[in-house]
Amino acid sequence: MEFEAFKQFLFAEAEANGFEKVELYHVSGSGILLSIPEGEQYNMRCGVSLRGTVQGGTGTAYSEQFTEESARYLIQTVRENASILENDGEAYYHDGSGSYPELPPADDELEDISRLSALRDQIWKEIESYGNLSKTTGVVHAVSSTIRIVNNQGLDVSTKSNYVYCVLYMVAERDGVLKNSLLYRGGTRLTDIDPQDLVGSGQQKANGYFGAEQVESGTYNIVFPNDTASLLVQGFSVFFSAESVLSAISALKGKEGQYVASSKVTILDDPLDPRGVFCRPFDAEGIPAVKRTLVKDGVLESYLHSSRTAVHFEHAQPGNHHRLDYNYQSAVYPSNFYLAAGEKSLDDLIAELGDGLYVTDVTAYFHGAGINAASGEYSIPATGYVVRNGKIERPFDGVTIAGSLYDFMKNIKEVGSDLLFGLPTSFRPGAPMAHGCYGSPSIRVDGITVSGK
Amino acid sequence: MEEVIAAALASGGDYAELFLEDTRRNTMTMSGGRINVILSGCDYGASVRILRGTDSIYAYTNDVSRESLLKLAKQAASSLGEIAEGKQVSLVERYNLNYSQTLIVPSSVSNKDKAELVKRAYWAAKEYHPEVVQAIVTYKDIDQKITLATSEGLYTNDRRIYTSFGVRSIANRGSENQVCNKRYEVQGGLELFENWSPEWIGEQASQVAVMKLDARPSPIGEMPVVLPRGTGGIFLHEACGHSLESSSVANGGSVFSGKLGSQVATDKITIYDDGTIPGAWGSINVDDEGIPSQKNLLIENGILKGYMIDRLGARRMGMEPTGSGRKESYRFAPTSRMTNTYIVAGEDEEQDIISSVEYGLYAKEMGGGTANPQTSSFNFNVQEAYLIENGRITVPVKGATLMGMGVEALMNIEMVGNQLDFDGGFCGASSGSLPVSNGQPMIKISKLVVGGK
Repeated sequence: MEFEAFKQFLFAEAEANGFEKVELYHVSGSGILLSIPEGEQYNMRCGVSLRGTVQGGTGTAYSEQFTEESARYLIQTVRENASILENDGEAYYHDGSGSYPELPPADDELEDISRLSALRDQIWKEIESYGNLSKTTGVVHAVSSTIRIVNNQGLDVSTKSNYVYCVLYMVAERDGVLKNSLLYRGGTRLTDIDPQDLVGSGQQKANGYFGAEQVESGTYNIVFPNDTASLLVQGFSVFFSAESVLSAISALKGKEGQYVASSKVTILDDPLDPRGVFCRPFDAEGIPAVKRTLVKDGVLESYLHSSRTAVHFEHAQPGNHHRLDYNYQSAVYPSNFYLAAGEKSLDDLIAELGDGLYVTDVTAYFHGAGINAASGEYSIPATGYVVRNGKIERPFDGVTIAGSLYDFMKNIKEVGSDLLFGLPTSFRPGAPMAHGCYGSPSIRVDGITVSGK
Repeated sequence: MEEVIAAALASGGDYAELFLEDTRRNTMTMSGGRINVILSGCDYGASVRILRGTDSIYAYTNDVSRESLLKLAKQAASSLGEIAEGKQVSLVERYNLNYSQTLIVPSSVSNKDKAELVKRAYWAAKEYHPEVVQAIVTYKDIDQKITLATSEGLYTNDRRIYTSFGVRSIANRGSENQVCNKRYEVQGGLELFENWSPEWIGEQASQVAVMKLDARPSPIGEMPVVLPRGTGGIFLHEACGHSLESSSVANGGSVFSGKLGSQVATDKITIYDDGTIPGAWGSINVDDEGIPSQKNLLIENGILKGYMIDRLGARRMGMEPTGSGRKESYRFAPTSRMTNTYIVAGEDEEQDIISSVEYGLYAKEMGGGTANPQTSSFNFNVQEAYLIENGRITVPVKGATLMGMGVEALMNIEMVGNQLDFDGGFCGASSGSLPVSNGQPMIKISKLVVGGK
């Protein structure tokens, strides 16, 4: 069934079943996943999530079938779920009011398998040119989505969003020993990925790790380059959700107006920032997109909000309700969430570090497993270089860095100028995409516990 | 179906597979005193895979009409090469041996009734102790129906039903939060709650969370570690399970590549991956490539004897597939994955294992973990741990993580207990999230690096 016909049928069924409000979140799109060095996957996808309010309760359900039977499954399931769910207050259905920002048009090249294939082949050629990287694998993944949200309160908005990323699991080999590194680049245009730059940086890291030894356990000051730092920024982003605050999971509860990070730290969430890939003119409630300053010079200014959470806080505005796809839960999530850039270069940060560590990889398969969102604690394997007198001395690996991400934010002593956005992925192949895109410049953080020898 | 497979083979592919799926899922979460998330839905789609030698193309769609599937097959075939004559395929149906049964099928139980079970667990966890500030209960059921047809002439249907239930308790004292996750699962339905009552699960989670508030910080450094029977199984999974999957082994990128016949563990270690264990969480009737489930010997008395191999791996390695080709859904290409992976019970009494440790860690239950199959380095959080001092388990400790190299750890397993237990969970990798179980007797590893804070 075509979507328009399905929508008419569904809205009519909903009304006949006593639904007061009904809303459809429809996604259609395609994806191309090219493995490095070889292997191709592509897909067409289409699905819908129904949200409905009946007898004061609200529920959702999704389906990938556009038939009358499926419509009835949705209505019946939403009805049942609505009678069980105990969310406070009336569910909010936006009426389409407000001004929706214009986003640049989606890059069509990202839907062209021959262009993406050429990019993949170029990347592999770069890899082969180094001679000892033949065990490297990775993916080039381009996703195109058209999202439409329509309800019976006057909302009907749609947007098309394309992005691409490349992840490389670099493996360098020397005399039978293997060293790993993780590299990524991504963006909303095909030209955001430069094979020479990507592979060049990756091989520099992986080849630099030969001869790595452990370091003594202890407390260290650490410089994280921007790509590694953005993985850690992803770790603490969850503290800023007003849902986590309301349910007492976040320790940022009650701290508005107080210092929650060092004065060098400013954190923003911006669904319109073209450097990030999670760009939307509206959130999953259809509310126009808004840029939000969460932390300014160390002081907590705002949490991320949906219409449900905003009512519990003074001066709070919704706009941060997102969902990965129709078959995922929608909740308060970041969009493009980042630590604002400062003024120093990475070289300055290392030179000024004196004695400490420069951590360039936090495990090649990092996917957030070493971070406990509820307690804010992290414990992750780290690889990088020992820095002595502001100079890189030797590589290290086989250590774990651990601590509390709340302390981490407070101990960010220096912020670089090289902001890089991460990717909407948790890097573990097959795992769901991350909710949002995370960015950071290179940073220096003091007082981190390192377990090694 | 025969038509679609024939079309897929039209450009020189030597194997093609059509996979259709109709899956119902329900996930229900309660926290903050209310059932606040119910994610219900219907996943419905089809995939076409073509192999030619070691080249592979994979494509999927939600439109499973004849026209759409023919178009998908033709498109996929044309990626491989010029379309020539379609081949004739003739399918014969097979009905597989079922290793599991479901006494109470989840789709025949209303979500309301499931909600009652969730509420019982929640209140038992929350009211266990005044220091429990939050409990999060998650109920999940998956009812997956698949149809598989291959160019080898196989046509088969399969149904997989999984039910999983977990409680996460958060205890708080001052600014410290401690967390415990307890999860129970069956390949089956709501008979899960006849084995473990919701109240018992809730109380267990809270009891450990509160205990951890009193626990002292874990010691750090290298020391003997004892893993219990059952819940210690994630060690096996992370330390060597992934390294034995052909997806890592085939391109030479696993530590176990090219090591058949060599000693890779102490002679006390024999490991199987067995998808045929009746009623086990990770068992399968047929893999997602149409190959019936098998019991696969991986390591025997410390000598590497075999791997877990999917069709593509078999081609790359010149070996037979082992019924290990699995994937989460039609959205993923199958790859070599674990089913029920276990170390065979040994000869040592559990009491003797504990009393052999002068100072070490008893890592009773693990949280999440990751592994790098290329180097075999692994790490995981220890959710519940105790000190072993002078041969006795003494005080609880918190914040411990374990890291090491799988190849070293396997050679350092000094003692293997004489009773075996399994622990189940979901494993995420390139072909998605899958139910797997890990079995282990109590083992003593003479040295591992313990990280912490």
